[in-house]
Amino acid sequence: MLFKCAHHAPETGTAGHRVSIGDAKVRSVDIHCHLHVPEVDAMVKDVFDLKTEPLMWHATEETRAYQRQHTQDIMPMATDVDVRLSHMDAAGVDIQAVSTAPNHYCYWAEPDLGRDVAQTVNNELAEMVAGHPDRFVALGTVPLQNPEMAVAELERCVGELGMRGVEISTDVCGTELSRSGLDKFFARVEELGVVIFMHPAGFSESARFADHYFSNIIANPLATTTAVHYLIFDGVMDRHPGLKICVAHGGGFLGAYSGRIDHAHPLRPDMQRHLPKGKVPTDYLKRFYFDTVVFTDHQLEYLVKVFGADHIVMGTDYPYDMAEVDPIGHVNGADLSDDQKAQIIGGNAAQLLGLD
Amino acid sequence: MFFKCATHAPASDHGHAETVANGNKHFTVDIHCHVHVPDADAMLADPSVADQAKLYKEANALTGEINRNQHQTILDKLTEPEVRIADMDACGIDVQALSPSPFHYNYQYPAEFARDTSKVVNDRIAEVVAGNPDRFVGLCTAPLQDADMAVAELERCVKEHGTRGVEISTNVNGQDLTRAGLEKFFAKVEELDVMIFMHPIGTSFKERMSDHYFRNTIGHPLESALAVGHLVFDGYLEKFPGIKICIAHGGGYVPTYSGRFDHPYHLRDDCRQVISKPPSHYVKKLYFDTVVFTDHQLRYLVDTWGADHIVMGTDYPYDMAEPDPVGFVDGTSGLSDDQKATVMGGNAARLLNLEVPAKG
Repeated sequence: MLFKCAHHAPETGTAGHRVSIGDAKVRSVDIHCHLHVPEVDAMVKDVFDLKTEPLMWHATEETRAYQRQHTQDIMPMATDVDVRLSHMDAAGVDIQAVSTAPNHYCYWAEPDLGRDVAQTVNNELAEMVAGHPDRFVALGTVPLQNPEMAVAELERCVGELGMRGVEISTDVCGTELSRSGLDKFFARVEELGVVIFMHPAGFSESARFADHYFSNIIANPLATTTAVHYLIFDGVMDRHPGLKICVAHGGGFLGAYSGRIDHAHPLRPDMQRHLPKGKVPTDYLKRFYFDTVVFTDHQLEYLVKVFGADHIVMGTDYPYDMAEVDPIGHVNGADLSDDQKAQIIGGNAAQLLGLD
Repeated sequence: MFFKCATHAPASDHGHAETVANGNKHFTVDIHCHVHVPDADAMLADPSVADQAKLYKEANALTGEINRNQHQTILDKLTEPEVRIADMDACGIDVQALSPSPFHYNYQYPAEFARDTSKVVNDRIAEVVAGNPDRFVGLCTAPLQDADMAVAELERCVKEHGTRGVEISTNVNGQDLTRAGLEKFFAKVEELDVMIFMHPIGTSFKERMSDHYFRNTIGHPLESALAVGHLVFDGYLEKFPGIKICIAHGGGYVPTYSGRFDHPYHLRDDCRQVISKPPSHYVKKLYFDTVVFTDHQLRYLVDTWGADHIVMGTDYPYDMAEPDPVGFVDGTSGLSDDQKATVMGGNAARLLNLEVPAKG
């Protein structure tokens, strides 16, 4: 069974508000979970090229075959809302902040097609939320290959569809987010006060990730790491002080390995170009939010210790095999105070997503 | 100033009565420091390799300029033992395990050429060690682009010079270590019971890392992660159970981000074709240096992998070096005195086969 729940999750009760920490009820939120929209597969079928999907392109035939089968196996979870609700109930997740499956980003497509794909996904997300407004909120997808269209779709998502933010990838087909003409997009996100959930889809370069699923288990945190570095060092975080970005998979490598940039920065003019005097790189790193999808107690505890419980947000990566199957048990099993657990399991997400 | 010592080091401000050497409470070894050998550079001027030398491309122009200037500024530290010893004294380092500057790997050149430069580098390091055998031990470089030559040079260094190990990069001209035909080299390292110190040089992922010194700040820990990943998942740490490998810069990205290796092992056949235990079982066999710059990360490494697998280092004399290695370990919260002694010198003594001087 690919997604089994949940050693520590509550055993009984009806859906909603079943997680208690100490005496307090906690509304639990999963900020990292995906929806697959089969209609999009049909829309892009004729123009799709495997090379545009680094996760699969930089992989062995064994991994590709595994992945094709896995995609079939999880399709009910990825598409069927009742299956999803039953898994949420079993895991004790009250609310999912659902975002698109990363393979629907389609930033490689012609902008018109990219916009149509995004609208199709977003309409599907909105419909799902409308059917169960007490269990779901949505994070939309936008065609980053065209900044104007991205802004327009962002506005539609937030204004018309009531979405709480957007999910974006870590780069636009290998071009850094900070170098893709997206300042107006980031400015609009900031003005609207919504959250960005940043989730990779593999790393653009190299055959060195072919084996052992390195195309995901190393290349995904690498893609995230590279993106966070560029957002800091190209000055995006400085120019947009109100941006709220939640980074998948515990923030990638940088969250757990932040000393090197602070050491180098004061010594090297090549690292100082876009950072104002008096700032160090981790001043900006500390503004990001990181999800809990790191699988170990010790890394979760470390992230809380270094970045604060108010910057760590529970997630799963549902419905994929790289998901944490017991998100609440994972947080509860870590050496954290009750207040910290409550923040991580739901409080922070409620703030970021504007939940009542 | 590129390498200044040492706000917390050494000796007197620790307030320790008993000393081993050099005013330290504990025996201290720097496992991560480099020697540059200008004679080996001179060989690169040979016209037969000059065109290949152009393969070494700089990142952006500013980074190139900073690195060239730095090389000049620190050249005496890189080359002159007396300067080095003065810095060691100021930092409270009893013994340095000298490894070649990573610029001397030369894996991208014809094997015969790299064999010749390796010999020049290794002989110079042996000379430095012989001049001050109580302060230095040596690690050699080997031409990994040819496994037979690499084995021969390693054997020569260990037998002729008493070299304690070999410094290797994280890939061989873009080929991952486990895909470069090096089984016999790893077997020889294991047989000779010497250590590997693994240190990257830049990264093969050049395109997206030209600016902001990312080829170092991201590229180095990434390269180490790929090397550790291949050693683990390709079964080298199972195949060579006695091998001792210390990874520079706190081991790169893997030791602080290991959950994503273990999680799929339990689910996916493509993550366990070769190995029979979870990846972290093999990661535990590795050693990591202390060059991570933050108290919290060093503490995490000790808590997660054990004080007996964390080895003090600096990256002397480059700007990316920890300027106060002893003070850094000593000041790390929550470490016991025994753990500090182990990290500062005990582990290195074991790995390098050093005799720990009696407390004086």
